[in-house]
Amino acid sequence: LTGTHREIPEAEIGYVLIAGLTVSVAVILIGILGYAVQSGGSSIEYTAGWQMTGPDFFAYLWNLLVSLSLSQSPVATMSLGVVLLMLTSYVRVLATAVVFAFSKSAKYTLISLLVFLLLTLTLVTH
Amino acid sequence: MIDILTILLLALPVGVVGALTGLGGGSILIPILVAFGVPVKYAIAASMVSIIATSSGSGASSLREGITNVKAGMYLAVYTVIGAVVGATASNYLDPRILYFAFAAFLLTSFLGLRQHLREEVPAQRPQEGLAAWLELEGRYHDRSMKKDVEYKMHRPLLAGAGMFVAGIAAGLLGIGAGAFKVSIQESVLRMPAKVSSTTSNFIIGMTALAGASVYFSSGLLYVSLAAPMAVGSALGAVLGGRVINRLPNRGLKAMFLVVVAYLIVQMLYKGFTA
Repeated sequence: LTGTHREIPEAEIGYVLIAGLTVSVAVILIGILGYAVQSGGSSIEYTAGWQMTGPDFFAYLWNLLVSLSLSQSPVATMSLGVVLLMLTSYVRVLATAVVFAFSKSAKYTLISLLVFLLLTLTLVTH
Repeated sequence: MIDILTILLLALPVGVVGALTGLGGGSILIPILVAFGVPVKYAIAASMVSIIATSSGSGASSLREGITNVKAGMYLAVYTVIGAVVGATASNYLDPRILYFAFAAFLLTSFLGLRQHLREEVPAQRPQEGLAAWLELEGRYHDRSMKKDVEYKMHRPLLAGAGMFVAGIAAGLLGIGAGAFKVSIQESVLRMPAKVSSTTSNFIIGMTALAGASVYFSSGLLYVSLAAPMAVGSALGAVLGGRVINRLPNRGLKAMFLVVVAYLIVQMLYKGFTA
């Protein structure tokens, strides 16, 4: 066991994390830079425009995508980056189930799908 | 007043510590932000995003090295996610002061238990019982600091599951990642090596924090002005921590973890007395 890709099937989950993390951090940084250029600083605000709120996670994501299609504000870009980061954590559970399915581990495919279902219920109902 | 860049820079070292110890880093970052004038409820909500970033950043490196035990992580995640939902739901009915004292006592017990194994680089091997064997709770990784492959077997999965359920309740109730509880259970009950425990805790903590963060969407306490720089700083710090963890000795990681747990015990007791 030397830590190479071929010998560790779970390494595929690591690649999902790297991809998600790189994209989300890049989007957040674009938003932060855009805000710094637009406002001439990087002060913290606690106003409604900075709030990430909605009936649930997916509703917020949908509203965010609609607002971004109308105007590419730096705050909405930052919010998109944060949501992409959260989605990465969600998708990697599904990726884990797929990795176990390919490894022919029915037991852990079912356990991973159970966790995915629990997380989906949490994201939908809160 | 604190600005976005300062928060990003503060979150960076917390991400490194989080990746090395298996703690999300929320318990360290929240008091720092509060000291800079950030309202505590906003700091707690944003710390959930920071924990997710630490989890992903750490996992990006440790999964590829084969240190994280994904099977154990998914098995334990079932308990901790259910616990987090129960905790978040029960938070309206329970007095948090009792919980702070209860968890301070739990951490103190873990502290004393883990201290006994401080000199142990890797837990001694012993035969596995039936359920642990059926769940395939074992693993092997190449330890760069020891320059050899390390094999290990885990034990008492039901007791560990019960502990993880309680850790999930703590996370949901108190708005923390509860990484200290998870690492303690994994090392004391399951008998995971320290590196495997830290990285597996980080793997699980991202899922628990996602369940926790979703609660804050409906509460309106989550501000992107805090969450965005905390996410970037924590993620970059955790990637760095995830890259160096395999080069550090298990004993060193345990010692670092115990220092943070001692700090958390004091923090829990303080909150219990002042809540």
